Amino acid sequence: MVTDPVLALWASLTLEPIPWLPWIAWLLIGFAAAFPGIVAYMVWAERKIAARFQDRIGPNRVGPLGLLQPIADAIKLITKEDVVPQAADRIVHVLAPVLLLISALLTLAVIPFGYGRLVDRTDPATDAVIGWLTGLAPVELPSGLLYLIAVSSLASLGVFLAGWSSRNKYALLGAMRSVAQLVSYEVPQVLSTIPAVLFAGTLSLVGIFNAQDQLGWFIASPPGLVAFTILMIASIAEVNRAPFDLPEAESEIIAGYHTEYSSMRFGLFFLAEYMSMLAVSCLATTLYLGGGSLPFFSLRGLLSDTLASQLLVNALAVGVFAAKVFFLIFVMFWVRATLPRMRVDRLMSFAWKFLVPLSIVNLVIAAVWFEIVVRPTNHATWGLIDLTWWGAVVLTGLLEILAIWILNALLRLDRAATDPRLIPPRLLVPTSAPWAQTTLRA
Amino acid sequence: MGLGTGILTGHLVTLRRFLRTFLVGQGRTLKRRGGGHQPLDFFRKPAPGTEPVIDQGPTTEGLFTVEYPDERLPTRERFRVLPVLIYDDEDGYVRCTSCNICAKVCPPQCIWMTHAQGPDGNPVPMPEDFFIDMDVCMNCGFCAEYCPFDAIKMDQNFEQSNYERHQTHIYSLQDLLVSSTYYAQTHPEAWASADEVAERNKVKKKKDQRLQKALAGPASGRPAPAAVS
Repeated sequence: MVTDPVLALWASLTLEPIPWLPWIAWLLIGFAAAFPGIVAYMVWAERKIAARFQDRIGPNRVGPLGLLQPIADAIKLITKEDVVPQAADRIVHVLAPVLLLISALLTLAVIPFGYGRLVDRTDPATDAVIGWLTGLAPVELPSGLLYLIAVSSLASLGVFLAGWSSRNKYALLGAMRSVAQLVSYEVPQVLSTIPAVLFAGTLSLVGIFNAQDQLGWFIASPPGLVAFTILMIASIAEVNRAPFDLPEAESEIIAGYHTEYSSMRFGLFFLAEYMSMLAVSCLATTLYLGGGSLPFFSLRGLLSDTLASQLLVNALAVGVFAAKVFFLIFVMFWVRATLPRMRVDRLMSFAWKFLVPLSIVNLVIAAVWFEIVVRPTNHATWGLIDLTWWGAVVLTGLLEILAIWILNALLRLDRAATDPRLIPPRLLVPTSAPWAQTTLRA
Repeated sequence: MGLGTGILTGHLVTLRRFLRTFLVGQGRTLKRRGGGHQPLDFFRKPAPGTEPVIDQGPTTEGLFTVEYPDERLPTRERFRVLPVLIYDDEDGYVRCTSCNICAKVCPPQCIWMTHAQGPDGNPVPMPEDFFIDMDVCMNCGFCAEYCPFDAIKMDQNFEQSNYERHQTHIYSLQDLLVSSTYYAQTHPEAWASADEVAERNKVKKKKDQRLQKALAGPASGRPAPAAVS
């Protein structure tokens, strides 16, 4: 059928005439080469950008602009001595970083990075034949979001195994903090992905991308904006980045759960952390920023059956996707350069007392938006900017502000009742004790 | 818990710093302040000793990193690292008379020396050898402070690293000697100060007298010390 090798590879990436070729291609090109490479240069970018935030230059000794620094670091990590503590549970100790890395890599497997090809597909709801973009996703799962949430929660298992198997009190403390934090922030993270599912009517990430290509980006609505913000905050906590980096707080517990790891095993933790940063940025881009689509202009019209148009559109779309992802990653660097680490109790109260209620309320407001705008007009955001749309923006916007205000007021009341500084001091010793009586009299 | 306006303001403050490193001062260009090789150059590096010297005032904005081996901060005159011994350029005489005062005042006791002897066994006022243990020296400058002959002075060379730490870190007379011209270059203010000028004139007068004496009767005085090249 297809003779041209380039065309064959392309066709297999976007559709499946040769069933095993896309798997091999994605594994070798994407997951073994491109993603680790991107992560390596993310580390370089973080060092450069963090340096600029502090009026410094950053790495510039290895290669021009320090561009060979990641390679030098990798060589250093690989050649270092690999130490597994004698008291450690060896198998688990070795397994833990691998589990973390696998969790981050599996997350990337359902992300639609581009436009793919336009194919005909039967809509299961209406039985009508509709145009469907394959989205250039490594795997297209009908319930991709569910899968993604499942594999991303593997990370807390990896972290806890690392901390537990090291047999080191700092590692265990870090792991305990980490599990508490990851489990807590997973709730608002998952809840804030639901509005996207609601608007698109599918759990498939490719489906969500398709919906945004047609309906407009989901972020361009008050509930979408709030959900995106909650998603970003919870994602930063999920990947243990500042200001939520308590699990590896170096000033308190050395390095947290990876205290006992050295050489490339530590490198794997490092890789996994940045890989999951990349993964959550890709997720947020896909769910709310419209994946590889441009605002106000759909690349869909440029797609045809010719190879040239497909390559062009997908190159453009992957570029747009990368730009959005890099912007989100930059925001993470920026937040890290700005905010100090949170206190443990505030971390927990922020998740459970603010983010979780807000994301539940936001879900209701998203349903309001869905009923006013998406369902009647079949446009989520800017497809149809009219009086209804503006009315919906004002209504849901006011509802969001009201929700945040009420939550804030409740939190204030809660703080006034529980803040130790606001409770009048009292004696810790029962004053009925005879020796306390004498001390008090004196 | 406030509404987070302070967090937003803080983010704008850090963003402003970030952007200013690209917009003002050195960060505006890719060039180095002192010229020389560019950040994108792979192999061109300034030859040792020719690196541009960068001075930064209190008004420096944006990037202020001095990229040390390729750029360097100026050394101020009072900056001191290790002691050196000075010989006069005109006649090649070592100023040190081996009086041992520096060794006595040295707080960590890192200076020791041997007195030179003439052919007749009498002591000659110059060191036969002079040692300073650089690992022990704490750069206090007492030796230079107490030296009655202005013979030992504090140097400004701070690039002392090498690959051997047992033999080479004990500096002998040969390692320590520098010319008075060198000292005049690194310490122009001290060299021109009234104290040092007076001291130099005094020493010169003494030397002249000694020379006259030697010319008058070669057999009477002690033998003239050999010049150290």
